[in-house]
Amino acid sequence: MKILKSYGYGVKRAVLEPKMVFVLWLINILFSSVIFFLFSKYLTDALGNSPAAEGLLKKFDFNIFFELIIHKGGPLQMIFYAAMILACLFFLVSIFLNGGILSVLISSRRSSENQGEGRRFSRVFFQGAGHFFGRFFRLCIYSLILWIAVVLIHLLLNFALKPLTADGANEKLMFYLILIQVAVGAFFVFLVHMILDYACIKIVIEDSRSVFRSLFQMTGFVFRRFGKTLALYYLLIMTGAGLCVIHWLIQKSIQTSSLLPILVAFMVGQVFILSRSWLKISFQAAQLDYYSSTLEK
Amino acid sequence: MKKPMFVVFVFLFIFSLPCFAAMSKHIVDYRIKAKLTPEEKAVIGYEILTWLNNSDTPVSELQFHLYLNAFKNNRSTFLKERGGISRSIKPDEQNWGYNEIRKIKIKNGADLTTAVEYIQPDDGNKDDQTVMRVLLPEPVLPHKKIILEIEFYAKLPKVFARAGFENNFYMASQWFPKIGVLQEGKWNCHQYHSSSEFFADFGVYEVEITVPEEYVVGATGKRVKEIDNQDGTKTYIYYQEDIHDFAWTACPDFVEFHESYSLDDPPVKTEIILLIHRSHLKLKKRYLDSLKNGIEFYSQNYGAYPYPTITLVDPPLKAAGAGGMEYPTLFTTLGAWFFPKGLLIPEMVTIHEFGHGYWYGMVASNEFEEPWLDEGINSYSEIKAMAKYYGEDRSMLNLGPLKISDFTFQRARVIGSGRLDPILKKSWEFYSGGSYGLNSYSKAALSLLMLERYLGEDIMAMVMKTYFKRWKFKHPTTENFIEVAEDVSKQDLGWFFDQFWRSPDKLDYAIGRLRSTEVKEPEGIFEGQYKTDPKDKEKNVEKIYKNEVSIIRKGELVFPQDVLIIFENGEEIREKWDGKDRWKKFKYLRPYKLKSAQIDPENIMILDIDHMNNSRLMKPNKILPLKHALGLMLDFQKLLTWIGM
Ligand SMILES: [Zn+2]
Repeated sequence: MKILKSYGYGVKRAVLEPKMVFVLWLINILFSSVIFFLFSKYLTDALGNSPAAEGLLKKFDFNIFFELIIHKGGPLQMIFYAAMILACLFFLVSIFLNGGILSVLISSRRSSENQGEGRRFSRVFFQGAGHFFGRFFRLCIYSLILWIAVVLIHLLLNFALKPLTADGANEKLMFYLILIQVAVGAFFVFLVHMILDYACIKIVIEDSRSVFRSLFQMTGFVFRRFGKTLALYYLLIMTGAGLCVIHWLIQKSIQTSSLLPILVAFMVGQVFILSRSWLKISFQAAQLDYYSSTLEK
Repeated sequence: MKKPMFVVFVFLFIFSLPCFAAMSKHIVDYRIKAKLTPEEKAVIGYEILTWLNNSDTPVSELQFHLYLNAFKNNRSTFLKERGGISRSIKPDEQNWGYNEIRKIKIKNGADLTTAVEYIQPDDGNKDDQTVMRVLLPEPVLPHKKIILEIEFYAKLPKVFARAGFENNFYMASQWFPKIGVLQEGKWNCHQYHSSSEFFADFGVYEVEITVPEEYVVGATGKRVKEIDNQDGTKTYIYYQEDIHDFAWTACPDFVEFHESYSLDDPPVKTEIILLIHRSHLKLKKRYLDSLKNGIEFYSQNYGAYPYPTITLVDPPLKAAGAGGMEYPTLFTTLGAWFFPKGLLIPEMVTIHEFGHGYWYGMVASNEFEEPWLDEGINSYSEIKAMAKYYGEDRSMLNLGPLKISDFTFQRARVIGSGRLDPILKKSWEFYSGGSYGLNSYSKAALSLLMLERYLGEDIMAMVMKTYFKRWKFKHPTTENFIEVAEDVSKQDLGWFFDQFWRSPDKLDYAIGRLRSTEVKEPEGIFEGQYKTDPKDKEKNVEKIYKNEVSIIRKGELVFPQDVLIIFENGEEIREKWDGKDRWKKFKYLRPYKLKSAQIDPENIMILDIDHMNNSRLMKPNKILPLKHALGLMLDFQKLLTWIGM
């Protein structure tokens, strides 16, 4: 029940923070628009004058795709590198944003009435983001210990399962074992992510500077309440999966071969990104609520 | 008792199939007894070879292929060219392979064992023992035969290229001492190279294969007898005429299926034998359907499949190195339990390897010296068959919106290549294995597809049918193919083959520039009078445009060009250009502007390396870049939401 209450609190809290959802979306689109400009310039140069490419408007054509890669692959490589750099920068920015999100969520929990949210928001958000950036960055580095553990578990599992398919005669088993390994890998990735979420929450609530201790303690916290923390996390993950399915179904139904449907599809896409921003805040708020509820006891 | 009865059986069998009477000239006659010893990963063999000197000169030495010696050590020509044994294989003693000649003698005559020596006609690599020479005490006279008895030991290597073992799976190919081909009094007997296949004379094979009784066996030809030896082993006897090689396979994990296949036009009657590894049973229908498609396609387009059997062998995934290989009336395919239906590798490999029964099996060109003749013609046939049965645009990959054709794959390979070799080259003289593959398979196939579009489908169909009919059960060369193409099409095609087969250069024509500029009326001072353009003052005067289309030859190769020019009002003009100069301009005065221009509107120039520059719009399309840039941006946005999670 506590889990459902925290889940409900999380999703509601995120609805009440439209500005924060907007800021997350805005930063996302700012980064992404670089890719838009680079790629549209590239396509105009490479394909704009070619009637052969008109077929691409209706459906994807591998003949043209391969020609592009082969004859005009150079700029594509540059765009790929640009995307890599942007993704790394965005990772740093999202560490920064985490502090802001949690600061706003915690401050609104403390003053349960939301008056003055408008003027206070940007100050709390950006101050919080700046305040905790260094600690969260350190947390990221310390988390390498957990990631190494995940890799070791993966290698161990691989080593343990290998003899089962050594003769190579049972490909069905081989296939399912690989699937199991992927599933186990994903589970541990999510687990570490969840531990880091709780560590951030603890650091912000206590304004703690002992990052490593927080990480250590919250690892213990998660394992002590394994079922519950996991249930809450996967409830949120399922919400995200639901959003993805809805978006995919809508996107699939739009035939984008002329301007208007292309713009409609773009708008639908932006609504999806907004919903993902909302989900991110829901994650933080729900887990914050759950952690706080364990402190009240 | 057993032997005479067997001879009678074989005799009756041959005469029950009158269509088999000597489709080819029988130069060789092999009678082999082979015993598989799984504990040694080897085959103990005894071979009686009757060889006919079909030339007009006496022959005083014989040359044999001992292909398994390619896997004897890391100094063999094969392994040196390949850069060593596959990295996934431990160089254990048991993993190497070799042929050992324990005894060789003339029947009722001299023992030649001490006369055996190894020669290296291609590269002089003294460590290579894939060609054996035996000097004869007396020459074999023209049109006379010699009978040899050979005791040999074939140690199979761990599978990584065609032959070998993997766990309890055995692929015995290129496993017995096989005599070379005598051409114009000289031996054509090449060493085993990393990028080469085989060449041998037609004849008769009768092979007795003894294996532990739990093994399921498949082999070239028809099984004519099965004997339970009462000692835990079984002997299977296979017989086939008009073939030039013999391969067999054994594995207790095979499941065997038989189905008879017949076709009315042209008349075909054969038995399909499937040996499917038990882990791939769910691929049975895919294999069977694609094999039936292959038999139908090749029979209808080239000539009726003439043999009484066709055996498909599906090796386990770990022995994939043995997969995708052709032998007379038997081939290995490739599959895995987890291959989805839309990934058409089992279908493509099945059709390709079956097709080699035509281009290699029956039309037995020299794969060492002119690999394109089998791989190129067969890839051309494969692309057409795959398109016919699995869809023009999805014959390789058909996974939801992801659709790629066999043709698209092959073309990508060719246009992305370094163009370091021409198609016509000896298989081991290519710059690399990759260059061998892309020229012998893909570029050769595309050149034939281009020839087909140039000549027309009907004429090309006749070319292929005639080539098969004229050259089946013989050893044709590239010249013979050209001869047929020119005979049938009644055209001189030398310019085509010289450019696309003998040169590595590129074909690339492009639309250079489209320009529509307004024509000014005479302006300035003419004969003492000052004139101005009336259009500057009167709006109603019709504007005239000078429209200019330029075509550029960017590649070295020359091909006649068709040009389609379209104006804004819909007017279309077709132009022709011999394509020889580096550029050509077409100019038109019209009261309207150009809309677009296109070379090769019929899409004949398959080998033109850049199809994107073959057409051009006057006004760029803005929606397309917008759509895809927004699409990519949204994908990147989604990626960022994961990173920021
Ligand atoms: Zn092939």
